[in-house]
Amino acid sequence: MSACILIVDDNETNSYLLCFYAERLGHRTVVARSGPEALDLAATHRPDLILLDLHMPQMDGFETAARLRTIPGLDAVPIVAVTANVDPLLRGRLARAGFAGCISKPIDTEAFPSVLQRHLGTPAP
Amino acid sequence: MPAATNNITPVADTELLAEAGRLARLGGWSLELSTGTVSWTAAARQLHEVGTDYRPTAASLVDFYEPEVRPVVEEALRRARTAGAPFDLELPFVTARNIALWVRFSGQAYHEGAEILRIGGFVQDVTLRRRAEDLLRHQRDEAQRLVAEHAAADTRQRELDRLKGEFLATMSHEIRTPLNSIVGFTGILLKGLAGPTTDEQQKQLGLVRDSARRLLALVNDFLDLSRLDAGRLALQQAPFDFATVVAEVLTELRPAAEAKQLDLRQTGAAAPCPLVGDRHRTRQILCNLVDNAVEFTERGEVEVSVRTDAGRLVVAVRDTGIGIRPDQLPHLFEAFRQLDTSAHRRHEGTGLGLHLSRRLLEALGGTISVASQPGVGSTFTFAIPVAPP
Repeated sequence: MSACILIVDDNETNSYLLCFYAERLGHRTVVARSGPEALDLAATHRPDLILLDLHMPQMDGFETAARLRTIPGLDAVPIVAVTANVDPLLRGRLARAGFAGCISKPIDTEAFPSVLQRHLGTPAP
Repeated sequence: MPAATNNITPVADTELLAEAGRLARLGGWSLELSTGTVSWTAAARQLHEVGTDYRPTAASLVDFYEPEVRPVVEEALRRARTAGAPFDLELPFVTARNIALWVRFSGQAYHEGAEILRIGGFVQDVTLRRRAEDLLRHQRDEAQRLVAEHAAADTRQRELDRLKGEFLATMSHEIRTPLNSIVGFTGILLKGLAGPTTDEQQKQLGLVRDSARRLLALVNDFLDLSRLDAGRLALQQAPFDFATVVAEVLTELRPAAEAKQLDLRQTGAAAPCPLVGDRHRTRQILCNLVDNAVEFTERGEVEVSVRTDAGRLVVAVRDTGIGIRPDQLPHLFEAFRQLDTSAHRRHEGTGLGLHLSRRLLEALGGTISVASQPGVGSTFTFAIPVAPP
């Protein structure tokens, strides 16, 4: 199944990696370099899944996620956090903030396809 | 015993007074104003260290004091003589035999009607008391200085700890970001997503990825240690099954064990083992111990055993590896104490793993110990409470 994935990351190398891998898996990608840009692109491209870096200047992942949710029609799109934060308490915080899941950096290239499949196959209600 | 005392002649009052003066080093003095005659008691003579032939004069009342305080004495005597003002001084004093003392010099006027006939009072050796006071003052000053120094050092240390924590947090993020892309892209290249690779390229990319992972582990260990140092390591208190932790760790490290043809196993059946605590940190400790055991064992086996004992979970990781010399055991859990580094660089590691494990266990209310025999193997045993107290 080909899907549209919005990748939000201020780090170009990291977004290139996610894009490259997602495209090799047959998906279409849209890249935003910041939270505000993500809001614009999400409204126009209607992604099926959003991969969102938590650590960004100005608008961080949590705030970006909360604002993405207010865009009509985007409230059900799964948002998956991408983070290098290894703090185990983060998972609970993400769940409470409405994230569908979390991918930790470095990206586990073995697990990445199944993570995408899981979130695309069973979108949050 | 009245019978006995009756036979003894009572001591004369003057004799008693003289003895008391000698013992207390307390003498009397007087100056007749009409004649200028100065009288000293026997104790006063002893204090000045002069003989019975010494004839004190008005100048003798001043000259035994240190030159710099003589004006004070002269002024006190003058005011006593002319205005009847009493005085009570403590002054540095030098005896006729050149012994330095502190002397309390007290005086007052004796009148007949309005006329002052003489002045007199006492001199007392207060050197011992002054020395005790000086010592006390010195010790108090020293104590205050030490307290102040300690407080300043404490403030400096806290500031340093804070800066260190900030530095480590920033550095670890800055180091982790490029490492993440190294691990990520080598993973993509290894999977052939960017095109086919040769066996040699696969092997080299694997080495790049392993090295980057090691660096990443080091950065993470550093971050954990800095959190522990700052008391900022958040620990969870949630129920979990330790048996699944053992299974996960064995699964994760089985490829490394199999590559060395080691038998990696758990003794007994993996019965459910409910705990309340921090799953992530408990897993980290076990993973580190098993990883070490595999790393330092060339042939034989690595065995994990789990039991509960008096409200504690006791986990032992036994290997048939190179073992640890007795003289190295005491330093094993210190930071950066990878043993035997000079002999060979075969065993790569951060040198932080065991130290971090011990610190984590302390934070979890647990303990860790080791028994080892060089050439035979080692057993690391850790124990943690099954539930918080």
